[in-house]
Amino acid sequence: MIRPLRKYHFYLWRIWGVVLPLCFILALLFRPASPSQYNPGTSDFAFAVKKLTNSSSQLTVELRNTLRAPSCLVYVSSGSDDLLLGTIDHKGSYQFEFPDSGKKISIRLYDAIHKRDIMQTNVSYDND
Amino acid sequence: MSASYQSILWNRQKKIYDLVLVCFVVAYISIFITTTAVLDPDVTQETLIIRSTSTLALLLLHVILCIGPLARLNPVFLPLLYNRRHLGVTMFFIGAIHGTFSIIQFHSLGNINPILSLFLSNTHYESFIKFPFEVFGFFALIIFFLMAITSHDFWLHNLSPRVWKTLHMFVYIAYLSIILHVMLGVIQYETSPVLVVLLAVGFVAVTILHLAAGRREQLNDREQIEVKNDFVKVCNIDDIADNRAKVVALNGERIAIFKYSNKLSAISNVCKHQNGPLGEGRIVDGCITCPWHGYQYLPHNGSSPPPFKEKVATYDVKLVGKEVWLNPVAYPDGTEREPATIN
Amino acid sequence: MKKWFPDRNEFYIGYLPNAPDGITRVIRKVILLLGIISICLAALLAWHQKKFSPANFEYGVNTDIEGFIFEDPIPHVLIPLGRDQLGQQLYQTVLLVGFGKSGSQNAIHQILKSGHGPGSKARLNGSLIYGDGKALIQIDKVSDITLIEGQIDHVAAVQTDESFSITGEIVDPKCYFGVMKPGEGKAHRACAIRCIAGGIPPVFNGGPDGYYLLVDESDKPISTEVASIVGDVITLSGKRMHWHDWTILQIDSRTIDELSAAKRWRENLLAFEQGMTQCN
Repeated sequence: MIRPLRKYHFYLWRIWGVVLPLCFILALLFRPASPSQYNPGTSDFAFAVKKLTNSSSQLTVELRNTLRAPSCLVYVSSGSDDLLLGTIDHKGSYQFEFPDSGKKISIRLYDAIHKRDIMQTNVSYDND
Repeated sequence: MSASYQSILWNRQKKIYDLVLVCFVVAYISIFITTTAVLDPDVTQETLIIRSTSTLALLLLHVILCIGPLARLNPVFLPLLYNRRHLGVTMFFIGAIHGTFSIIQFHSLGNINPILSLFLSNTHYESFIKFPFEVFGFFALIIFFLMAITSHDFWLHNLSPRVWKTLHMFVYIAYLSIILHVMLGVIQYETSPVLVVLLAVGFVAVTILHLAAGRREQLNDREQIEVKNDFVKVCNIDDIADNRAKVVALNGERIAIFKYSNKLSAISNVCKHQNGPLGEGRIVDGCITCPWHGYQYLPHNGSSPPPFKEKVATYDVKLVGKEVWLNPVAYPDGTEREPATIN
Repeated sequence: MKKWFPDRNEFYIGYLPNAPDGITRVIRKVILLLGIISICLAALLAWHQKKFSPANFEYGVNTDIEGFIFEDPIPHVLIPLGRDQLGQQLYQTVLLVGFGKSGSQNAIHQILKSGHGPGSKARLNGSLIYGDGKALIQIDKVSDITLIEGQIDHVAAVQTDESFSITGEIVDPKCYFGVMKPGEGKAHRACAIRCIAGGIPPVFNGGPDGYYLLVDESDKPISTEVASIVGDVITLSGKRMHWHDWTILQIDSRTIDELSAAKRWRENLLAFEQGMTQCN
């Protein structure tokens, strides 16, 4: 290499040696705090049902992971009819009241847009 | 070395180089895509392409930038330098895939031209941390594009080695742009320290290697001798090995004094091809051979053997006993000078 | 060490068929080492990416949905889900967006004008976008909407908090709820701005506190006003209102002006962009 190019190289890398770490550190220092993260759990849903009064019960549905369906309707059934309790969307805990039905209930989660069941499960009453 | 221009002058080593490079590119992209898709099946195909190509181009850029100073520090790395342009063009193509997919993904199908969108969507030009990082990537890609299209020897000769080399030194500006593109882009989103640490290791390595190679060159230049228009003693005849050269810096420029067949000849140290250090070359088949790309010159007249047309400056050299004396006044490129004879 | 630095007398010439043995040996080791490092890097970088959202864009899959369409505060369709045990009619809100980075205001306005106005029942055919319990449908053209018999009235939002503050970031719902991964943060900022500029209504992502539609004091949707703060972590204050399965945050325009310090700059750019707007 000719001398001016050699000099250019060397001085440029002396400057880069300062500028690069500086940009690097500044970019790290001013990095925005990340909004709260989604932490996947072991299971997507948790259900609990308890008696409120002699004639009513409460179902708690906990959505532990982000829902992967466009809609989610919660039905409860203790006999032949399904009773629509409501909908769930965002991760969290949802409480629904419904008429007392007995020892065991069946829960159905239904995607009304895709017109298909998400899951069906039986839930026993808490003993307390 | 070729007397006429061909798109690529294939030879065995070049084929091996490119084959290894293709395998490397395929392996990297396959492993990145497979690992991501297996660990997180929610990823989209566009993101897989954008991320695998961006990280690969970044890795290749670091390798490319390390080859130059490594070859200055140890000639064993010269085989990597010989076809470095293939590496550079490959890096540009991979970077261009990343850029094209990113523009399609983030800027197309909107209400303005996608290229305009790149500059006009995020307009926090007043802020360092909110700065539109895409702009850095775009300018770096333009520089890589200019380097890729002028990478052929045709452009090297037509632009002149000095202009060509200066243009290709914009790679350092592109490198700074890429670091900013990454730091102000994906690093502002990702929380894992892995990419930050790897990038820091990369630029520390590139910087240290450049400074080390530059320091060595600077020390060599310090040994220069100030002279006027007359012969000056530069070394002893035993300081020069057979078929090799001693490089001396006189009045700021380097001159290579070659010892061969009981003769001494002096020519400019700067190869006409890419300004390679001729004095670190050898005499092969009676010709001075540049260590970078094998360009050859006859020692007594600094001209490439026919049909080649490259010519470098020549100098007068004489022997006084065992002392080598050199006249620093350069003769025009390709001027024939009588070699000094060693008795 | 000697293995790495072969005989200095060896001289490499690239265009000869073979390189000297010593140099070949070293270069082979260098390439092998570089290959191993690169493969490890590929796996390491892939492994350490932030988890991708489980949201979904049913690209290339068209679904028919039936519901009541409205253009205020933002274009949406209410899908009747049936009555709950208290006899209350439940609806699922599906936001309507256009092809690419465009909203669906024009298409919906055109359809409602040709029908019986807001609340007309329609059958829509488009690609579903959904994530975290929120759903959107991409309608590519007006002919994908067919008006059918039926109509309901607009249901006003119910205020639940007079003064409410929330921290999060403004996202464009089309990308965030499934089209892009990631559809948030700095890397996606320009795309989100482009989507919002194209008419996709911005949504405030409050993290664990859910998602909010943004309106001003006169219940008009907030759109390009927030372009300069898209993707930033910010705190917004205003009135919180419940509206079907969505929450609305009503903020005064002064707050937005204060937050978007570069508003005038943006307005100039938007004017410039309009001059550059492609025919569509």
